[in-house]
Amino acid sequence: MDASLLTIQPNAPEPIYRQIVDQLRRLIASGQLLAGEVLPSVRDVAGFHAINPMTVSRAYGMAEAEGLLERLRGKGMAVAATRKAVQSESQRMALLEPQLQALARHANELELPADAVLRRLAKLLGD
Amino acid sequence: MNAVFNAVHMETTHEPVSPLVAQGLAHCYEGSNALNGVDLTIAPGSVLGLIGRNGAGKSTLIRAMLGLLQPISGTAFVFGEPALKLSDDTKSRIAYVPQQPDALAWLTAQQMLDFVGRFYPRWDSAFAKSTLERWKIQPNRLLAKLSPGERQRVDLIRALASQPELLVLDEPAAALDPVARRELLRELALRAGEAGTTVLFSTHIVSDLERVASEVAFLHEGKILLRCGVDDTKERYARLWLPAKISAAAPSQSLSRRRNEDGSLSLIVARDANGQWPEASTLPGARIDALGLEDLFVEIAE
Amino acid sequence: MNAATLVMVPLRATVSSTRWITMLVLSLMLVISVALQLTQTLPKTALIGAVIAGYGEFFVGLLFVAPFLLMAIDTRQLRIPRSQSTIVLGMMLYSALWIAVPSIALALAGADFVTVLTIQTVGLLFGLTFGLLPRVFLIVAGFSPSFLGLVHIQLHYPGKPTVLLLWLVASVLALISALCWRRQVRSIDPYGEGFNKPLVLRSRTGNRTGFMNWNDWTTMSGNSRQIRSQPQWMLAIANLRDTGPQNPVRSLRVGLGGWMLPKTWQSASRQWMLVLAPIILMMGLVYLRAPGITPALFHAIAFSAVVWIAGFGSMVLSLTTIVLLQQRWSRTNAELPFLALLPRLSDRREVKKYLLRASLLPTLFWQALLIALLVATLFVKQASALDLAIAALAEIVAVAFTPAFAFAIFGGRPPAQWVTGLVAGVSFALVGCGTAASSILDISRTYGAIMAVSIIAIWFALLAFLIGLGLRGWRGLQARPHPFLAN
Repeated sequence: MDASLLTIQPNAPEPIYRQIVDQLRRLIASGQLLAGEVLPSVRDVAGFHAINPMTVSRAYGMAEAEGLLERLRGKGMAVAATRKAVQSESQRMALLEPQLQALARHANELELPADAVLRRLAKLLGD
Repeated sequence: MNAVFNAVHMETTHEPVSPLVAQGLAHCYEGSNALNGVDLTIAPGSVLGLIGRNGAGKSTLIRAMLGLLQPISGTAFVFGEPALKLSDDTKSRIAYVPQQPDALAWLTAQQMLDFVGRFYPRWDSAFAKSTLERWKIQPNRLLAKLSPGERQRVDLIRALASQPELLVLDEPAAALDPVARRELLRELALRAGEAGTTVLFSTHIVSDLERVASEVAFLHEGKILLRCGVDDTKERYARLWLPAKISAAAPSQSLSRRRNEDGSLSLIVARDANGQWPEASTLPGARIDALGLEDLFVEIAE
Repeated sequence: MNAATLVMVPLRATVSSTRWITMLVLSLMLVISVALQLTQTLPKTALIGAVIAGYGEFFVGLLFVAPFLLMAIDTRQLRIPRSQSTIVLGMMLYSALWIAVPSIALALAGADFVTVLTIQTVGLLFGLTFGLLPRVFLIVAGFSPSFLGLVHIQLHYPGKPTVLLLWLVASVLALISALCWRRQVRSIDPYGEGFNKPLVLRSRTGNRTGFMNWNDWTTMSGNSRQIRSQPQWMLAIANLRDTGPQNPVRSLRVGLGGWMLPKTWQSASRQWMLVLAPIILMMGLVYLRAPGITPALFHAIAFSAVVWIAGFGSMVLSLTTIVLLQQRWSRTNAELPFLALLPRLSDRREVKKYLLRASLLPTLFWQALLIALLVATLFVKQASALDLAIAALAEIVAVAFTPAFAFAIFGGRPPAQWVTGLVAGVSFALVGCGTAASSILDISRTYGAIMAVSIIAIWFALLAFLIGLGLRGWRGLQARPHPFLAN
């Protein structure tokens, strides 16, 4: 994997370490990162994005604790071998949860009927 | 935040002395208060970003902490020594780049680096030479004839080549173009992460701070208003918006409070000990918005 | 463009203090000349009033009218429509006003209106041209007194041909001004600095009186902008040999810069040439005017001339150093933090000593040479007790300047800018007066004795001021943890 695969938005409300973990989750869940694939070193990620290496270690640490990554001796971090290439539907659904909640909130604020929103969403998903 | 702090602590247990400490620093210029009793301690290996509006006292604080001005009251310590009486050993461990550096304009870039290098025991002349080349600065031009951005870069090279353990930068990115700024941030980030260099820098550009800083301190009207880990700050504070009809339910504790024209209320609130937002956020019509540091800063400093 | 805009032009083109100074200078000159016109009846001196008022007009042209250029440049850069013609018209309107008022006043006092008007016009145009000409001409203008000496000014009413000649001069000056104006307004980089730029552009840097002020002098010494404005061949090339922790004094001189900077011998000799060239040129001029007297000139040099050279030289040396130190100790983003945090410069207590050595010794060395010249002259020439006293006092005060101000600056107790300016001005005036006094005054007469005593008294007052300043600064320096704290 290349460090450029990650996008960092420093001024987003989300802390940078969380942005990294979220992106790793999504990349792994979608199969873009395969089990056993070695991740760029903390230095590479920090250097490429000009961010604090501590932030990257923290993100890797969290992903490791979550079971997304595992530490390989002499190689650094890699996608956990126990990880199935593609996760179960409920797991992948969970990744979408924040965006769905935001969508629901906006729809309520605009006082849109639920079935209209769902119809539109279904159409978008169908394409 | 805790994780970061512990990590720092474990890495640097051999060096328990804090690189920079300010105790009750107060100073004023011609009657107007620049600093109002500032306490600040910087942990070894951390990158502290200092933000504040123009005239908030950032430069004064930095200069007082390095013993470059005599504060009216309070003391500052650099690696445990009183800032106004630094020993040679301590001086060789620190580097400072002032805002718009303009020192030694009568030397060429090459001469300046050669001259300064003679005084520092760990001077990395190879780094100085290669960085000068990489940053495309003509080594034989007088410093006076360089642009402000080039001047800043030469002074940054000067500071970095001395391989300091404490690097203090006052608005380092102000005169730099985006590419040079990114390079500087990279250098700072990697030095902090690998060599354990402690960095203090002041800036207006909040996104720079969000990239490399581990901690942030808001200086407002001569006081540290908020001091927090960068990630922590983003997760702990948010804007609570209450429509006019329920604005009476606003929590009493808030960092800032603004009444909007339509009678609604905007507050900056913090999570409580259990990680919960104040009660009022659950009321119908109330809204919690996560904020970037810049928005948070603007809300507080307004 | 309407009448109101036209009237408002100078209000926008100049700072209020400039307007006040201009008014003050002209009123003063006018009062003097009207008084002269009313009291003097001798035909030979009848024109003095008009010439004095004309001198006032010179300052009006330089300080009040020439700065209109700055506004013309700004408005052109901002692309403000119809601004150029308004400014030029406003300039003409106010010039006419400034010329008309003194001319009418003097005519009412009994002078010939046309002649006075002519002299006022020439005076104002001289000032304007002086402000608009590239700065190189300022150097040439330094020699103008000797050129003026070549033109014998006859102080009686000129006839018609002379008035016509003066109008011819006025038209030439107006033409030169117009050309300079046009060139600068249309220049690609109208804000750039350099010897080919008008003198008036310098006033952009001084913001208080709008023209050269003391503040301006202190900030221009050795900062980046000043270095940038100098041509390449005039710049000093630093010599870093023998600098480093083993030689703190030499290293501190690198840190202080300016004329204390250790230079390579090539660049040092080039800079010496710059100082010596005008002197050689002057001597050449003297030789050309009167080839016969040159061999005798050396023997004829009066003792007072040597006193003046030594006194003036010592004062200039002291002031140059003071200005340099004051400037270094006022900036927080330059040499001070650098020197304060430079390791191995020397021990904390020692560094004050080394700093004093680095900053004082070069000045004191050259002053010692000047004193040696003075003493050597003493052996050759006879001098009266009064001459000796005045010469010794001038030297002592001039030499005392540097240490007194250095202590005050390093100790964090510098005097206010205007005090420095006043003290320096008085000292320069006294150096001039002192030598004049010794050749003109006859101490046996009451009037002369009073003059001599008051000159000596002022010298002592200056000395007392400097000693007080130095002692206060010395105590401040002892109390400071390190000397590199900005004032």
